[in-house]
Amino acid sequence: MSIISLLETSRHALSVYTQAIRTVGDNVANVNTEGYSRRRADLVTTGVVGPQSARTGTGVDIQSITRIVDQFLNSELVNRMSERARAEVRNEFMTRAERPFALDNQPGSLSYELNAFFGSLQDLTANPADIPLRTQVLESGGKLAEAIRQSYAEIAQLQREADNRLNVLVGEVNRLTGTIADLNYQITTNEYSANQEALTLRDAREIALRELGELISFKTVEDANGHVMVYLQNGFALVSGIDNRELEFNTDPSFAPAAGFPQAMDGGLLGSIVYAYPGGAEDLDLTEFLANGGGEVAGLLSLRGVNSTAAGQTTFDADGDLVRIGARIEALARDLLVRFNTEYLGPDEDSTTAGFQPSARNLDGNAPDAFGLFSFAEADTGNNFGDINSDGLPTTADLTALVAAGVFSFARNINFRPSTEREIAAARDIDPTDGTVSWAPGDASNIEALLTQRDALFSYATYNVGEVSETAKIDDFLNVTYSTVGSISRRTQDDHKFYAAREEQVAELQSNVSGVNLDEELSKLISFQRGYQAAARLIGIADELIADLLGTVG
Amino acid sequence: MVYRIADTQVTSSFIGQMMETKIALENKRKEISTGYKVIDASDDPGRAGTLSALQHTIQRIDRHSQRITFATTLLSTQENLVSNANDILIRAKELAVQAANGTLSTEARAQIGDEIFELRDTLAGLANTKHQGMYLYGGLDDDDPPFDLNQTAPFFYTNPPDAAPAPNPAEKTHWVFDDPAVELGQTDTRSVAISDTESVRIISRGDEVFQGAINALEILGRSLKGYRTGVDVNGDPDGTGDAYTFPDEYALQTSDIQAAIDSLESVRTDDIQAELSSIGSRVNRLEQTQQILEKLKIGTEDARSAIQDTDLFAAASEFSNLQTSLQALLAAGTRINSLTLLDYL
Repeated sequence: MSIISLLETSRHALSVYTQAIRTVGDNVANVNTEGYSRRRADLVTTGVVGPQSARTGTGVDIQSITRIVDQFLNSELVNRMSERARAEVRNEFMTRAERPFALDNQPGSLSYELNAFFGSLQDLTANPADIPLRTQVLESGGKLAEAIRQSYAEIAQLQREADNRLNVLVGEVNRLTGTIADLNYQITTNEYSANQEALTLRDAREIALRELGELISFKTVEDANGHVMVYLQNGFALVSGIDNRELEFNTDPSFAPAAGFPQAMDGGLLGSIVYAYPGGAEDLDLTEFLANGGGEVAGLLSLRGVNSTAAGQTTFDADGDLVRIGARIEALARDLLVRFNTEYLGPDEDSTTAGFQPSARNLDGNAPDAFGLFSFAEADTGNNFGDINSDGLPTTADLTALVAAGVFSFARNINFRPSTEREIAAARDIDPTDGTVSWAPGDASNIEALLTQRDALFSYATYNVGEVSETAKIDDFLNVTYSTVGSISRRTQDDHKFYAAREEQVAELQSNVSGVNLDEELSKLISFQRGYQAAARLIGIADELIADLLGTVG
Repeated sequence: MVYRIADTQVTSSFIGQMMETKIALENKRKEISTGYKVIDASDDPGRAGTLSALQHTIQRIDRHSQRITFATTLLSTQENLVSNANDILIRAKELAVQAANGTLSTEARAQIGDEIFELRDTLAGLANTKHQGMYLYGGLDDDDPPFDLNQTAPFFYTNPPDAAPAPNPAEKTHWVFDDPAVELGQTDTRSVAISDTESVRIISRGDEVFQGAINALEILGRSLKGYRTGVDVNGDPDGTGDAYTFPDEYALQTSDIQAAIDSLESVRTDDIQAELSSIGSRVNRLEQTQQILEKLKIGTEDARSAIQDTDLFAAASEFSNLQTSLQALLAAGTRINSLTLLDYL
């Protein structure tokens, strides 16, 4: 090797160490950067020169700057993030959904008001004509109706919020798949032209994949060109090469029943997540599939409910936890509207006369209407005040007909019908002749009969509200509702903890592989600095040698 | 095995543990300050239904207790009322004994008769007492007093003859319990629920308690005023009864007065005192039920408390442990983060 080539080797080494130190600097600077994968400068020896008997090396070079990643861990982390995000959003919503069912038994809660209402009725039996006691019934009846409306409204509002958020998230999914497709293009172009890994772009794509994983669950495959293909478990490709397919959030997709999907609990519609094929083919419904996966979208869908395309679906048939809770409140409201209103009318006063003549009597000797104890806002002259089949009785047939006519929920607008103390019908007409009224103001037999219904077993399947099917007393039905809400909420809390811990495990492993350790980097810095100093020293020695040589010659 | 660790991992792990401990501390603080360890159904979903049922039971017991207080007040009022009726009958008997004395003139007897009719009206007034909108002896009919002063046939005495001008004298009038066929519910009793399975009568039949006493006073008063009173098969006045012919029938009048004294004593024992003792036994029942309810409430409260209330000693000790953990965590965390190779370069 010539002295001149020693100078060249040293100069090149200086350049290599400078680049290695820059790599360390990059790592140190990004120690806190989210999604940054540490880089490593891979040094290699360059070729050898000289005759076979005296071969010498030509120095050092950088083979590549490598991102330190473990693809398996990255992919696993995205999966765990999906699971955690699903559990997290479910926990967030259920924590709010269980507020109306707090166990502090405060006035305003369903449990307290139901008990207070029956308590006031029982008080009234002692002195049925007493106006203050009747005022108490008016107040507690109104509060019970209000507690039902409030509890229902809170659950319906959460369902709407979940639906609104889903609409936004579908846009977010489209944005991310677009970004990934775009990055696929940039990575391929960059790596082809620079002939090395596009480190920052790959980090950016990994971050986009993680963000997408928090929204939905998917699988990825990287092809030979460096393109990541993103597809759902059912094979539907979201990103293919440099293209992405955009999803839509649609309340009236092409596969919806002719009459449209049933209303949501608040009266609006629930959107479906679909892919609209270009060219007018039937929309592809991905809603149910996404609901069974992971990510925030699945969490929201499992809460909000997914419409079925089966015939005869109602508001409470959508498959979701909030709908299950709403259905129980609805069943309670329908129970008051049908069973308790029926009892409140008393027996048919005169079976020999056609039609039903209520025997219940208020303080003015008048009988109540079919929906005389509890009614609902939509009951008006147009539907005969709820008695749509005009048989004089509040029946499930009336409610079914009202649902068909667009009254999708009764819990939403239930109210206590008597507006004055005198309107409360506590007595019963004992004269079995239609038109002849014989009753006593101190008679509480109608209220006593109403109270027996409180302790009667009843099959709630009668009302055909979603999955509600048990046979129970009204108090127990409500108690089970509390337990049901508590169980769902507790499960979401436990799931959130469990999946957060699972994510944490993998995030730790992933971070241990790809994260920056400052001490490690500083050690490398010292090492590279020494290498640089040594190379610089070699240049000095070569310089001295050349000077000595020139002196000898001169 | 971990062979390297990223600095961000150290930091995020430290933050995560610190947050977890702080959340646990906050939850414990809430538990201590509210006194409840179970507030949301998810805190103990398995027992949320039981807790709600226990709260219902407590609320029901409270309601029953309120009704017992109401019934006790009502029965106390009735007790005073019937006790006054008893006093009236004793006073009437004293007057009658005095009147039965063979030395008294018919005029003196007639004066005592006026006082007897005063007592009769007072007694009828007691029987028509209204309390919180209810006639205490009026069955279910809150609109109309149970006893009416009747001046028309068939409860109008044929003797003495009609006064001109009106009004008729007291001995011609008759206090009568309303016809239940006209005033519906007049003969019904009224009860109030005092527990889930028990109820107690708060209103008895007015005719059974007072009609006999009113009739006895009327017959006595009429005798003293100089008129006999005919009775039907039930012993109730039938509206007939001629005037005594004095002095021939003075002895007959005396004998009728004595018979009326026996009647008075008989209705006082059979109707009035029987009602008094019935009220007494019902008040006793109320007191016993109240005691049972109080015990039941304590038992139910205990059961509720066991599920819902915070064990303050345990919670305070756990709070203290968590505080210590947090202090240790903060100390260790800041130590680890302060160690770096940079200090040695």
